Amino acid sequence: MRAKRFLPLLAFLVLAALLYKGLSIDPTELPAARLGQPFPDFVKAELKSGQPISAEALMPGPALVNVWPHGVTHAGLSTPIYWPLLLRACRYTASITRMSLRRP
Amino acid sequence: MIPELGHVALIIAFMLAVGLALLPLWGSFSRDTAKMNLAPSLAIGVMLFVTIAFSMLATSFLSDDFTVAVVAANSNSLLPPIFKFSALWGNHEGSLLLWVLILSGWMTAVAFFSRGLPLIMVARVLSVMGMIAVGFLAFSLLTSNPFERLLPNTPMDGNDLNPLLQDPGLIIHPPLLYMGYVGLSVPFAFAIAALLGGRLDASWARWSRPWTNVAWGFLSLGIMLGSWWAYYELGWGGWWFWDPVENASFMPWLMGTALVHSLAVTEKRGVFRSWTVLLAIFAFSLSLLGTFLVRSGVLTSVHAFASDPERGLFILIFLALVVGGSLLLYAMRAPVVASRVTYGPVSRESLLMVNNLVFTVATTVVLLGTLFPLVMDAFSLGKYSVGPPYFNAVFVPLMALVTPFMMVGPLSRWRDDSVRRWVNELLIPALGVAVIAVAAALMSSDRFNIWIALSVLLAGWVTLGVLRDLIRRLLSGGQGKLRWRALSPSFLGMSLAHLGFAAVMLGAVVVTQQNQERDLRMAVGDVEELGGYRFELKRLGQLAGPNYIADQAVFEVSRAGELLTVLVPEKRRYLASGQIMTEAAIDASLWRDLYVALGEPIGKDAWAVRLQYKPMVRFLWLGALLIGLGALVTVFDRRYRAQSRVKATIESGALSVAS
Repeated sequence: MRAKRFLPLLAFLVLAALLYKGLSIDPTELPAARLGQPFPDFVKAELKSGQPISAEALMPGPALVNVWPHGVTHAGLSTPIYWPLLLRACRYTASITRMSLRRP
Repeated sequence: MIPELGHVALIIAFMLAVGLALLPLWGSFSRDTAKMNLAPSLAIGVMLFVTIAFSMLATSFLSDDFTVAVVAANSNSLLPPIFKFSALWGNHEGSLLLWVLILSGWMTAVAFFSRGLPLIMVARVLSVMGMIAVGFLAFSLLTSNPFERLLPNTPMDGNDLNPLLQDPGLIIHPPLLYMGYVGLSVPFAFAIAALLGGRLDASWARWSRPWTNVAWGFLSLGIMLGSWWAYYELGWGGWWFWDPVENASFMPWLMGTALVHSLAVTEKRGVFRSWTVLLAIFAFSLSLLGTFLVRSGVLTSVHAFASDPERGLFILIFLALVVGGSLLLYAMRAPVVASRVTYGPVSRESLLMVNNLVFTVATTVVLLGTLFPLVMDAFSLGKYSVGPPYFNAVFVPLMALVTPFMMVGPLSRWRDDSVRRWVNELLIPALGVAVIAVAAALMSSDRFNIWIALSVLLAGWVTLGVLRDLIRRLLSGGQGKLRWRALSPSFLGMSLAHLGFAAVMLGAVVVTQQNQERDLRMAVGDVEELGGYRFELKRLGQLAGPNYIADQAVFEVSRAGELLTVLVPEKRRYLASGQIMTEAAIDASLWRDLYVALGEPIGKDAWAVRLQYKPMVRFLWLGALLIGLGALVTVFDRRYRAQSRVKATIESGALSVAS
């Protein structure tokens, strides 16, 4: 009976070991998950004209697609002033087509 | 000079806390009354010196002393004074000081209100709280000194407070939340003191119950404010994100919910004793775990503090000492013998056990979801993020499961009850509620929505339980007279909290199911219909705020040709940081919110706009408010006051016998 009382302590020790391991991990490091895979299919309305845009329209050639969630508009990248910077960073020139994507 | 005074005060507070952690506890084992009697004075001493330190830091913020590192990093001379003050806790170092201040406040409250308790209990409780204070003061002094100076390279002006935090909601959200987090240290300390004394009877449950209710009430209010703030400040109308930091505050709340109910059983019936002690330890451990998650950087979150592995290690060691130590104590001292009090399978005890199980399981699934990315990362199994799909899938059914028991709970009898009695009292009105639920689901939209029907049904059942209990109590005097005295504060508190729970559930389901939103481009003169309302963009303008400039859009909202309101959402650019902020415009009412937020400019005279119609979203926060207030109301129950008076009578009686 007494042994059962040690279960919470054991569970906590496992948790503490995990947390200790967690201290040496960088959670913000995020390897590209889709590198080398085909661009996912989508069809969305272009914001200005309402014309549909699909993944095919981006082919062929380089395309810069900036995807951001609505919740983090303050994070900056969604702000248009950053777009030329992004383009320069990619060493491509491309026309900017703006879309508003909904959350799924 | 002022920051140094604060630093010295903090060091003195630390030394007093060391005294508080050691002397009264030592006295409690050596039966040294003088040492035990030191506890209240030492607790008040800690509180005084932490208050001095806090005031000194506040003075540095209010007087724009940019030689102080945290002031330079988090304030700005243009910042409105009220935000200069709240900037104090908008950062890691300052918020830690707030944490310690609130802890010392709780210690003082315990010292003040526990004079009727046995000295040995008070001494041990305050010593345990003193140990926690030692840990946090050492953390502050050794790794996160808020009084550090930037000399000689003092900046001309500060970096400004994060614009997201420049908001009235954020002035009171952290203090309320910390009141809850830290308040859970009181039942924790009572549990540890009871374990140390080896006396886990009903009395410790009665003593710690009001404290638990108050702390849990504050935690409810704090979480509610956080959710409300996210809704109007982040600009896209969400109210809960299952973000790790939100979960960090939600887990102690869930465990606290179990504790609040379990304490009731232990106090009234003397059963669940070991279990209740364990819950008290868990609840506070989870608030420490929250501190670790927020401040160590092991998880990514939108609102974690700047993290630092050294700080993380410090909290982890502290966590291991506090939680490991108390669980070890539990393993050694918790009673193994089952209590002699028995209860039947159909009884109030069993119903409350269902509550305990559901909320413990809920805490566990939230904990697993929160830590899952860390587990996978630790074993190099890949990068994961766990979001709403998981949490909703496991959490919503659990809450739905517990509500039918909430209907029966208040009516049920201790020890032994019968299902037939419940059926007699509740069956017909419960079926009536089911009819209403179906009707409501049919009327609320074009087609039958099963989720709305279910939520109205469950919320209705909870309300029914409360009303039935109310009627039963009012009629308990007999002779057709209403017995108002039967409505005790603890009954009122419980009823408010249960109604609040029903309101939260209803609001959450309705706003999720019936929310209407539209992202679109709007130019001046454009008109859009949503949810039966007509939104017209009348004009665009600019505005200069105290420390920002803003683009504004003026929308006229009308219904059936009648102008209802003018909504003016803003897009702000803060001068010091250059950060862009969305300031949504909301027309709030009990049954629906209209929510307009600006996305980004498209060309010269048009904006990407998000319009939302959110039915019953206010029920979420009103419900949470009821839960919090209900918990606070219970403290006024007569039996907590009567207890100290009875105690006093017994003591004076004993004296007269002795003389």
